[in-house]
Amino acid sequence: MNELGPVLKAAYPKVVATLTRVLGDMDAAMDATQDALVKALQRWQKDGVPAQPVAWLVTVGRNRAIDVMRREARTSSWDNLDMGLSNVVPLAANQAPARVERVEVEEFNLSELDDDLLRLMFTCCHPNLTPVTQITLVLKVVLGFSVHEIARMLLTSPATIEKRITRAKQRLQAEDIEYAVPKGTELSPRLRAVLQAIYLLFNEGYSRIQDRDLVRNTALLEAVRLGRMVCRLFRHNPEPRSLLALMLLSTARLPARLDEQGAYVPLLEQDRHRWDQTMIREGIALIDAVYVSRHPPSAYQIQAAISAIHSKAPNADATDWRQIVALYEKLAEYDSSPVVPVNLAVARCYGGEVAPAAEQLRGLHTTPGLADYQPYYAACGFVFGRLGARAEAASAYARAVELAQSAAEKTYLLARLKEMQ
Amino acid sequence: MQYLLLIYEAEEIWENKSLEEKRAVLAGHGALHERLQADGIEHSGQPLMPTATAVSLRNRGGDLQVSDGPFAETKEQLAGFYLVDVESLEAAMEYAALIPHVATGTIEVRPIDNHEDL
Repeated sequence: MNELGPVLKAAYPKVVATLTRVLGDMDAAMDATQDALVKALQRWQKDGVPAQPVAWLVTVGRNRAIDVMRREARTSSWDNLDMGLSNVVPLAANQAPARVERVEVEEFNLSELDDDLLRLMFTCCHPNLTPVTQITLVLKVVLGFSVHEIARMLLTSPATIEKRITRAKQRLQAEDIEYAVPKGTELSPRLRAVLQAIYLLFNEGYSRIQDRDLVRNTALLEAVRLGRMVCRLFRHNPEPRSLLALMLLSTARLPARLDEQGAYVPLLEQDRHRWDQTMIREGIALIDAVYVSRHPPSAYQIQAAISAIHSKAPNADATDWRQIVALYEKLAEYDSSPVVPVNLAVARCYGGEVAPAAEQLRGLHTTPGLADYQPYYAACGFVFGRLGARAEAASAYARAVELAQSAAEKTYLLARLKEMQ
Repeated sequence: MQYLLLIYEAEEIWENKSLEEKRAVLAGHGALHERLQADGIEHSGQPLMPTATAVSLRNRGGDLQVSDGPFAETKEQLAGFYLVDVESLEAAMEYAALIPHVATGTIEVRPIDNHEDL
């Protein structure tokens, strides 16, 4: 189970996406995927992981769905018979739904699945739903995150997420919205939510990083690849390119983010020789192209610009904090997330404004969404430490340790906590 | 005679390659470079970043317009090029056929026009 977990998790969205297209029904696709995952757990333990896990799961899921449809076709025509009996009644060939046929593994190739994933993301982002519900639905249905994971990513409670998903499904059902792939002009209004979901997927991969081997980080690679595809879909919209730039500039730093012992290394202490210069060049080329085309700025563009300032500085001391502070202030106009003032405070602290930064962080103490947000407490620990308020810093670090998501981060935060005690 | 060998390929093809596959393609370019050198052919060439990094310029009546994205929106995009100085089109084609992307995209062979008549 332990070694199968990541494989199944990585396969999940592609399987749901493909089955949704094949079956024409999102709920049926999710049920069929669950069945296929259960079967995979049993079979792969014994036989090992097949060469094409996604195709395997799709085939099994599709066949399961066909069985279910056949069963339902029977129960609806003989609904006075009980299930047990109807199950053993042989079904005449002409009673099976015409569109479902058993398929062979070879029928699926990767590029087809990739398109399905993006298609399903756009489908979930139905304009009749609120933006936050669109994103929630994408994370749950398309990307397969658990309610708890989504709650943490969106800085809210699992109960809220649960309610939101139920309501969304009811709403889509009530308005009889079928799985219809949006086309042309229907795509643009859905773009914002799709981009945000891609960015959340990216952040999830980024924060979970356990080793320096990028290849193993499927969430992160998937997000970058989806980002590239959306860029091609919206060639003249600056936001996908800004998001891609942001993701590339961040990904470039991954090799430096953990030290030899696997401990977390914060940005300013990283060995910059380990940064991937190819990704940095492409990231900067992307935001340069957006900038010279004089589009109105977007949150992703400003974030990418901040990231690029770090990328361009030859060492940590050469960081242009004044420009970073100015960009975070600008970002606050476009992004109401409480994470922005946290980052602004840290930048101000580095820029020399330590006391105002500490004041700003204290002021955020009761902000909804930050109560369980680890980086907020890590920021508090750092800034209060710089201010010389050691006890206050220690208690902030202690809270950050409690909330740490990875062993690497925990080790790092524990070391900082010790310095303050 | 100089020829430009233009490499056109859908960008997804490169993106979807694994690290090993990408390295195999680069090794193919390395082999071509060595072959050209061994044959004493003057040449140069470069890969290009994806079209998302492109900007396109137009000046109409003194009004310089800058737009983002590539000039042509096609299924296959310009991904890189070689410039080779060879005796004939046949020779240029021989080298073009050794570019790894010939298997997944299209190589366009265009003679360089020096405008020596002007």
